[in-house]
Amino acid sequence: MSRSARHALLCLFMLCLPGVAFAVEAGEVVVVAGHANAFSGLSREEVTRLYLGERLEGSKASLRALELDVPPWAREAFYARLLGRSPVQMRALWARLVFSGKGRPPRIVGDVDAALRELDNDPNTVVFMPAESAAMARLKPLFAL
Amino acid sequence: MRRIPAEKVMCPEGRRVWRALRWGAYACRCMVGVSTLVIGLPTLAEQPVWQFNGFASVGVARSSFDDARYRYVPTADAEIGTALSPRIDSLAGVQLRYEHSDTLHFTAQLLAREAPVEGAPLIVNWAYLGWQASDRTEIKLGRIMLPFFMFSDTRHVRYAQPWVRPPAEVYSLVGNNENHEGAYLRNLMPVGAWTSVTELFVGTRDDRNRNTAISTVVYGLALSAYDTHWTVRMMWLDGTTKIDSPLLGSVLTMLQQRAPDVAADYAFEKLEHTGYHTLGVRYEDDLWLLLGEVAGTRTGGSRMLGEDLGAYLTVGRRFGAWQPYLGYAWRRSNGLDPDARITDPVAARTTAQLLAAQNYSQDTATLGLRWDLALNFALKAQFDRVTPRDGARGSFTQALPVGRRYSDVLSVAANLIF
Repeated sequence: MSRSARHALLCLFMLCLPGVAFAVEAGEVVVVAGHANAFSGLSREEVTRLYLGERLEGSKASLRALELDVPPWAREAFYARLLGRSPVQMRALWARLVFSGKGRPPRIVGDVDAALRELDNDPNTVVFMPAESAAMARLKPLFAL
Repeated sequence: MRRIPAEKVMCPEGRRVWRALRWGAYACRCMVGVSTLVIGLPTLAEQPVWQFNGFASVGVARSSFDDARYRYVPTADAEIGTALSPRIDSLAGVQLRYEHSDTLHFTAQLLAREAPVEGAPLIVNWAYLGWQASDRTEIKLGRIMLPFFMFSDTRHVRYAQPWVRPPAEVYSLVGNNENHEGAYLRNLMPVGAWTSVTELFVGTRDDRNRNTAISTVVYGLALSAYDTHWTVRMMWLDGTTKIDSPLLGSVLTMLQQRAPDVAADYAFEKLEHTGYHTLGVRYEDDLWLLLGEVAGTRTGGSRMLGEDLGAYLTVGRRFGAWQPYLGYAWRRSNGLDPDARITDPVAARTTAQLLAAQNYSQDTATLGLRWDLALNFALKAQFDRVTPRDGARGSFTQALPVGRRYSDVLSVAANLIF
């Protein structure tokens, strides 16, 4: 059995597991958190505000967003679908926030493994990633694009 | 041994930095005290967080003439002739942020650039204590760059802008203002898919160079709203400006002697209700970029000083990593016509010359190209055709050569953030 076939079977197996509450579509990107996270979901407006460097209100004020560096397609798809912008445009926007002290842009993590470590360490951390990766890691889905 | 205060042995810029840091430390103590009294001990993060960021622009520019040299800020020293010069587009900054807790942080930003008139090439433009007073409200105390216009507080972060440099017709209206000591409050309010932003600020600045000593106290309000694509913003800033200028003083003395009936209109030492006002709009999606601002200055009614109105419109279109853009900027200086009430020929000529020298009316047509080579690195090339208007010399060191209506400014720059 080829490696890709094994990978596909594993994904199918993971999708059948109870507790994985979202369907994986080709190229789907989801915003996830660790299972210690207290929230059942985030609205599009809330995810938008998090990735525009804003702080949410009330009990969600402690949520912090991460940006996933690899794979690049997930980052491009996420920003295009959520904000209609490219990663380069987001960098320019965040530069304005960082150097004027007007916001808290997401911290960048290298790959899915690094993101998983961050989610384990802090239940208030959320990150976008390919739905397939999130399903394999059995993460808590909060929002899908 | 008698201790000499550190401030006594510092240069003027050093004293300003020292005062800002002392101010920040004092503000820090006050804020910690207030937060302890009012909201209890701040929630400490698991561990203190230090964040280090920076930006740089390496750029050169040239203009068409060596006798009428181009100046980005008409009152600054940096001039661009026919030789490639890095003077207006090369700068670098580093920023250090310490997060004491989720609600309390200290930020300092150091900028290396050519000083506008005189002084050290290094300046601390930001050194403030930030307090997240609520989920929606943040307060800053210390040294801050005031948000006059849409890009004013990040005008040195060239990577964050489409242009090689922000349009001079608007962004040079603030002259050599770099930062203020003061306080800033920002409140965000979600309204559906939009966020409304209210900014309140107050600041003081003492600026002394070989030409003038200017002391200002300003306060202002900015209202803006944005969604994922649109931003609209308006700002009103008012204040009091005290000016000590040997040049202006000598003209005023002459008027008091030769044209006493009108001299009072030319008083300039203490001007009330000086300031700026602006209206701006921005649209950006994955393909198109639209930027426009209109801004004006108010000089407190003194006949000695002109008032300016500036505007620009920039349109850009993305083709992958490439973004060509077109722009047009416009500036008109007003209130500088010769005063017909002055009948004494010497006084009339001297006053007319002084007023004419403040006429920076000009138009600039811009064609540029941005190329994003990486997520944090961009190359830019820009062509500006700068045309003085209304008989003015514009932002040039002198009038353009006879028969020439415009000067072309060519610029290339590499912009980086980290």
